[in-house]
Amino acid sequence: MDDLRILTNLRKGVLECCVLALMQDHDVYGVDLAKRLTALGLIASEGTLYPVLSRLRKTGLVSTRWEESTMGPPRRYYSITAEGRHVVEQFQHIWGSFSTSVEAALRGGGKDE
Amino acid sequence: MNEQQTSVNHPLVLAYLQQLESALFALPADERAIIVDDVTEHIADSLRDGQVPPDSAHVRAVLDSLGDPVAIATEAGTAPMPTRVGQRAPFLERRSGAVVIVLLLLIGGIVLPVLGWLVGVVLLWASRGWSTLQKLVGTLVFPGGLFSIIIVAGALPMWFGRSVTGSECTGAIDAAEECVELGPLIQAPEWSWLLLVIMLALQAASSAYLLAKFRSTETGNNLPHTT
Repeated sequence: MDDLRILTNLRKGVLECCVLALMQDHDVYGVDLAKRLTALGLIASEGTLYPVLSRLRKTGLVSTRWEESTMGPPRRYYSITAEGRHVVEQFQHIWGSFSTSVEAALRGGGKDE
Repeated sequence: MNEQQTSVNHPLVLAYLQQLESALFALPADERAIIVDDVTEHIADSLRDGQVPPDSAHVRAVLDSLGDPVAIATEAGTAPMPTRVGQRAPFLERRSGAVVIVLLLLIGGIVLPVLGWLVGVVLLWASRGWSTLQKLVGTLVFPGGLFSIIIVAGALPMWFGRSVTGSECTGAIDAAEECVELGPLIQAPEWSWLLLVIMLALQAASSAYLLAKFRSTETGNNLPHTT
């Protein structure tokens, strides 16, 4: 398995929760969110954000609204729903123990702790 | 949204959106439209500060950061997250659930007349594995499944005559006259059997269609990830 393949597989499992986590404090719009995720190295290209957002909308974890902009046409903003917040909380909890397990495995399986 | 379209009329943008549209062909139309709309808005938003019409270098940079439409389609083909983390997809959205639903639609009405089929329809509409159009096909192509076809098959001789009882009559010579009097005026036309065959074929086709179009929300294997 090459590096890219490993990274792609890892991203797949956490991307939706990371997208939700980035909306926790304030609503976001597509371009901004895509640039932040690319900068964090969580998506390979900006376009791959949109299928993720579409799924989050469909499952009711995210809602959208239009907001007038001071310059140019209105923008679509994404906000996290109560259900979405619940998922982030659960994810945070699971991620904590999961990353501990992975680190233990990488240190040699915890056989002689 | 549509007032933004003016800045996305650039030929490079149109070509990109065209590629995206075809890369997403496997998705239900409503999901495809959402993604294409969002990407269109992304492009318009990225070009809003530039000149009108946008220059090609700027457009190319925006499209480059969006990335390969095939990568977007690959992401779209992966599994949606279950509503609760760590939980399996609901039964209705697994392939085994789809098989049960299609079986209920087909033979549910035979096992438990009308009700069995109705349960199938309710489950079909409750599943997220099919689009609305696909559900309509599953519901409306001969409602009732094979049960309705059996009913029609039983009713045909009654509607059209003595295709079934006719053979009994020919055996009894002295009853023949009686048979002619009792027999309805119209004989079951040959096309009534053709009609049955067509109904069976359509029923089989709609079942196969539902199974083929089903998209499990559990595993994202709609598109291959290995390249």
